[in-house]
Amino acid sequence: MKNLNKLFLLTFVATFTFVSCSDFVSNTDAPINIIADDALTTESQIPFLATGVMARFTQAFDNLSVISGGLSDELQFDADGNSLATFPTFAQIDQGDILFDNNSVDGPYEIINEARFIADDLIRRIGEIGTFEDPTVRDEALYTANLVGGMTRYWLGSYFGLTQTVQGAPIDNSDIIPKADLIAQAITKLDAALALADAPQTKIVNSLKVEIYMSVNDYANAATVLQGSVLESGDAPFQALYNQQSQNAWFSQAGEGRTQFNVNQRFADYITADTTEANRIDIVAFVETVLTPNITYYYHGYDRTAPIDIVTWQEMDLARAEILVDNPSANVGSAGSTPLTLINEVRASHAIPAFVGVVDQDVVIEERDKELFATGNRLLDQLRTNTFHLIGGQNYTLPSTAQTGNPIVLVATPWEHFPITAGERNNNPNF
Amino acid sequence: MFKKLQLLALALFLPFYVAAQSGTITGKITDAKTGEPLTGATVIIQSNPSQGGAAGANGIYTINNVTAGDYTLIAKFIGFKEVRSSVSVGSGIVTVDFSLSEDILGLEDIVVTGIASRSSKAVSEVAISRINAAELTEKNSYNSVSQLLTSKVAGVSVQPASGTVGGGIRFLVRSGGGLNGNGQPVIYIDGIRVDNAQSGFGAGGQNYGTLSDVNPETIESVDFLKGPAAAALYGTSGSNGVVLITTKKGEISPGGNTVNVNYKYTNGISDQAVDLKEDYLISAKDANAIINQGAIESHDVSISGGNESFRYFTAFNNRNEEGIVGQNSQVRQTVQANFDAFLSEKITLSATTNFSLNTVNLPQNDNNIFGWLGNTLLFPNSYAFTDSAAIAAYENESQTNRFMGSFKFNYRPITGLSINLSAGMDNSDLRSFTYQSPEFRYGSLGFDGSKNVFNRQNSQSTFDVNASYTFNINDQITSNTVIGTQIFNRKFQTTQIGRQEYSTSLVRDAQSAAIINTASEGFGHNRSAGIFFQEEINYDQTYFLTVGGRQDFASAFGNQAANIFYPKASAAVRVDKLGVLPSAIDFLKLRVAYGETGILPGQNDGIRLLWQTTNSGFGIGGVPSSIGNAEIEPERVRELEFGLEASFFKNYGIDFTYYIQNAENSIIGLQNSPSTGLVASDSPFNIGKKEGSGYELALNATPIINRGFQVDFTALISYAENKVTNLGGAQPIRDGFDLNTIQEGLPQSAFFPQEIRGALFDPVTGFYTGADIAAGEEGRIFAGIPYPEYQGSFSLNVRFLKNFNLYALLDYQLGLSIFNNTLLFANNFGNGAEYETLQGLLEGTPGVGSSFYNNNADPSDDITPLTPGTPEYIAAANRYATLNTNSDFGYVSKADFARLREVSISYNFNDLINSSPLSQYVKSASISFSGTNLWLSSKYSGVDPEVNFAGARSSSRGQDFLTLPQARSFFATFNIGF
Repeated sequence: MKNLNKLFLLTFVATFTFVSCSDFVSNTDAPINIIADDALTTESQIPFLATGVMARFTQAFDNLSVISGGLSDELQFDADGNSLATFPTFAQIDQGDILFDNNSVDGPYEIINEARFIADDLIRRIGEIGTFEDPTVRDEALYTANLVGGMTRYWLGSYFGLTQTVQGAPIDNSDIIPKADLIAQAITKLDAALALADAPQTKIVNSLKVEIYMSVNDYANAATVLQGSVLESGDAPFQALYNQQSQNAWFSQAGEGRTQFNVNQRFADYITADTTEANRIDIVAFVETVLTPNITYYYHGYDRTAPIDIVTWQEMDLARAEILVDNPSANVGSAGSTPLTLINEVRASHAIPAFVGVVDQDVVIEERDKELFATGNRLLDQLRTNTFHLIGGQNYTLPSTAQTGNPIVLVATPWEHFPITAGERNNNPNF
Repeated sequence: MFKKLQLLALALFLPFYVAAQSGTITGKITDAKTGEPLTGATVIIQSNPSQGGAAGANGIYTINNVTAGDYTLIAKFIGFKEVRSSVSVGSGIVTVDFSLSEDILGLEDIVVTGIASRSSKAVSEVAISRINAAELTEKNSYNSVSQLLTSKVAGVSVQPASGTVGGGIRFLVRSGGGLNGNGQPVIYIDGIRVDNAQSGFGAGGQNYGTLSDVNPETIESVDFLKGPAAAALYGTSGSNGVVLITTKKGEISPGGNTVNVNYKYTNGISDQAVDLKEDYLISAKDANAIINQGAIESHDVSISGGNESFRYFTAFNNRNEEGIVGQNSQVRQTVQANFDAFLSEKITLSATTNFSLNTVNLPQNDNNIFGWLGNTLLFPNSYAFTDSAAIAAYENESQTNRFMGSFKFNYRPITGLSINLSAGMDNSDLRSFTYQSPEFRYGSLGFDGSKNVFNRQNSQSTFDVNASYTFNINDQITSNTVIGTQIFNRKFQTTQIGRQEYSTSLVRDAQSAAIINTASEGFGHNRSAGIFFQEEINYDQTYFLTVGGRQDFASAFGNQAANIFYPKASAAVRVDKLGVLPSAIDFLKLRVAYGETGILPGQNDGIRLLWQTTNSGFGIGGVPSSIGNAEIEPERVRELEFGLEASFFKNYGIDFTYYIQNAENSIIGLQNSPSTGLVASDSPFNIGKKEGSGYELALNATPIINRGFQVDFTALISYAENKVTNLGGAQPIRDGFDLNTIQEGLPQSAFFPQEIRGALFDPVTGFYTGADIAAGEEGRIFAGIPYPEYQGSFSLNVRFLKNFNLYALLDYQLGLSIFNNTLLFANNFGNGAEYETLQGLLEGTPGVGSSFYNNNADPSDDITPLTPGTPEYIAAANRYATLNTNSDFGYVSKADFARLREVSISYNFNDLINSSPLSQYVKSASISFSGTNLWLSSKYSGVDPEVNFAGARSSSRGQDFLTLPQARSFFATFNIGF
């Protein structure tokens, strides 16, 4: 019995000695691909975080510009033919009959919000670090964070809404913030960026402010900014940048990669009317293979890594033209220019013959339709000029429905922007 | 020390020959019912299990060199009750004959009942389910463990995700355990916890299933511990049960050192089990045309043998199998070598080794525009997405080199004490690639060919040490105490690179493509450890009581996650020993068991915020990776089970279990509102609860048994239900396709679509104006569950004309539903026959028309439109509304089914051989003809109710979307033993 006791004791002790279980399980190799939040609190990590902000910003931009192209009359969902359009969520967007849980809206809404969050969070971190050994690191990061914070607020206020016709969005679990307030916040953020901007950056930020003011027909403020330093002929555009590992969404959703959306016939008609329009409207015709032969178009302008213009000097000239059409005596910072000269300067930059005739708002908006194609501006132009093409209860014709003779009947009140998603509605305590 | 190691090594690899002055025991072992000799039955000496003999063809066994003394002999044979007999051995020969009776209920099978305990059904306090795989593989040729296990155990469903050869399987055990994890049991092979992941490149929805590396021919038995009541000592991750696979071992050869060589050859074909009809899909002819006959060929060679000191089993398998669509095949070679060395009466060493080389090619089906099914099931005109030549050129291959090995040491220093030490590893190296040739265009993808390469190294090891001591407290009470520890360590790393743009199709290495479009690397390391104890009390072999528990530790960040205790308790009583039963009842045992296990949170769930890198045109930057919760702890799953086993009139048996499962602290991911920007992941909270219950019934009968004819019948019936009782106020959790729902008051993963209430009509014209689709959350309705409420099987084994054997297995599932997403999309694209017909009937109705117009294929062309307002028009409109594709409602189909799963007829040549001179060279031979999936009857609107487009692990379940149905197979098998 004595031996037995010893043996048991030995086994018991050996078992517990052999493995100090708690230590054993905690002694694992560190992950190689994730970073703890508290490791990102030093000056040396700020550029890394600022680059992350820009990465999310560009991703948000291409995602948003694709779906807003789909909701506008730029793009259409055509399930027929070899356009390979199969996603019902894109069909909902095209017809303005968008459910709250449309995951093609969820994605862009979440990415914009994440870009907004990490931009604001970067400002917080910089504040907590306090003194920087290299102030330029701080200033460049703050410039980026404020620019992105401003633009994402503008997008949230302009492209989303709680109901079909009223825009606005929450920030950080707030109640809905009306569009006007979000745009005011956006301008404040951009002004904060301006305070840190160098000369080229100043042009960019001011140009973005012009874009924002134009989106709400605020010609007065737009004209004021245009009098300052904005992008001018010869200046490079401000662009969202992509590479092979971060390809733009146009390529995979509305371009050569795959065409969940293809291009409205209107753009082919522009080229038919004037072949030089192909210099700025880069579309490719393809023949459907399933239906009786029928030509549709996809956008070729953005290769998978092609940058997308966020704002250009051409957009500034068109803004000036539009303001001058409204008020020929307005000061738009371009003395001696007329709507015609401004439009033709833009056209000349693409080797398109000069426009001949009277320039009115319709002409300017059509020039914007062509010039700002595939940049997300068309939807806002349609809304601010009361030319939104989806009219409740009316027929909606696609190439395929033209063949079948069975047009789609739109819902009574189509969405004019994107609904605040079910994820927000269900989880925001202030809703 | 080194000398001792040398001796140990010698002992492992050289047989021992023991010579001593002693006597010999011999005798004949026969079937009590038929008097036939039981070839292969063994007799061992109870006090020294390594010493024994096996019966040859004439049933004669011999045990030599038995030291003079008194012994208890145990005679046993698979499927028969063991018999004990006392014998006194002197210096001469003693004859002891045995007559064994069939064990209808399997009461004598020694099975694993816990991490360090083995027991027989006769005394077990928990429900035991064992598959005698060796018996099954004698009659059939199974291509995978999945096929082997299907419909063999009450309460366990083994669901393949598709008919894809080499694809994955999903176990559904009882009512599904907890809410967390992937719902899969832990799988051990010879004591090693093995990798059961789905890996490689998904081809649409299917992945390569790592369990397909295992050769079913080498499996001796499979034991199921179906829930926490039995699996508590396996600790965390045992809440969905434990599957214990034991491979074959060498047996004592008749006559001593003879070598048994067996060869098995299988040749067969797979084919389409159910043809598509044109009254279902307009393109049915094209879809049927893509189905090929797939060839099956398998060679299995095994060499085994042994004596009192050393036993071995080695096997080699080469199996080639083609799927029934192009680009699907599996080529698998496995080598198994198992050794047992009985170094002394006190020490046993065992080693198992398995190497497999498994190559699986997967076709591009499921949610995929590059596959055969995606191009023939959706449109009236096929190959709209991708040309057939391009489909045929698309490659997706996974190749695995895998080694599984274990070492076991058993030391019995004194009577009653057994010390066990085991260590094992499962190391695998997977290489997968996909290749698109630049010669073809895939959809409208704008690149000239692509290649993706994925490598995964997985290394996991299991270490167990335990001690068990049994002693008699008095004449009636026996105590068995077990203590031990179990350690698990897993490390894996993955690398992946994707390249595009080949200049030529003459080379296909990744380097020759111009663009790197993706590159990633993954790494994971986790460990778990547990300390357990168990005390078993046995009173007079009549009353049994066990209590135990396990303290578990695991690698998981957070304050609460890493340390948890799981208790267990169980009891049983042998009523048949109380003398109160009528004589018709031979055996009756009542049992009750309770146990707890858990499911760990994710390893990083306890960290508040993690960041990762992202790539962009601006460079590499940091973005959020996941949002955690420092207070997270494991989900806890409790189970209480009651049951009984009984046998009647010696030939009939019943096994019944009722269980209740309860999960709490289930980890629910709460979505942060997107406006917070915290969208990288949901945040985990311990707020969920789930309840489940069910019963399992097994009936066994051998109503007829004589020398030339025997009938065995087994019926398995089980019922399971579950309900999510609490989500802590969280929003319902849905799969990526917004259908399978986890929501309070619903069964887990229930189908919960927006209800379609019927058609809407214009009150003036009578025209159909649209479907009345209920909106919002309140508009959703429970439409079914993607797994069965009731399931079971009937198997029949008939031996006739002495040497013929007929075996059939029919299984069924009731109460399950399948979402027919194939039909939904086909209707959207004008390929659904009924939908097109309805459109024809409603022609003239504004807004109604084929979304696809095709003069050649649209059946509505020949249909006379109905008049609005008529009952026929209203009926057609209501049906048309039900099939509205804006809701999944009309496509969730009842999918009850019955399937003739296996049939085989075999002939055993052994009598012929034994009566011929051939017996000098050939010991056994048999031939069998078999078929699988031969007949199916189902309520399902699609083709096969046993599919899931998203593979075997996703939260999407029971969804058929361009998924390959199960194949029907026929094959012939020839066995010969030397």
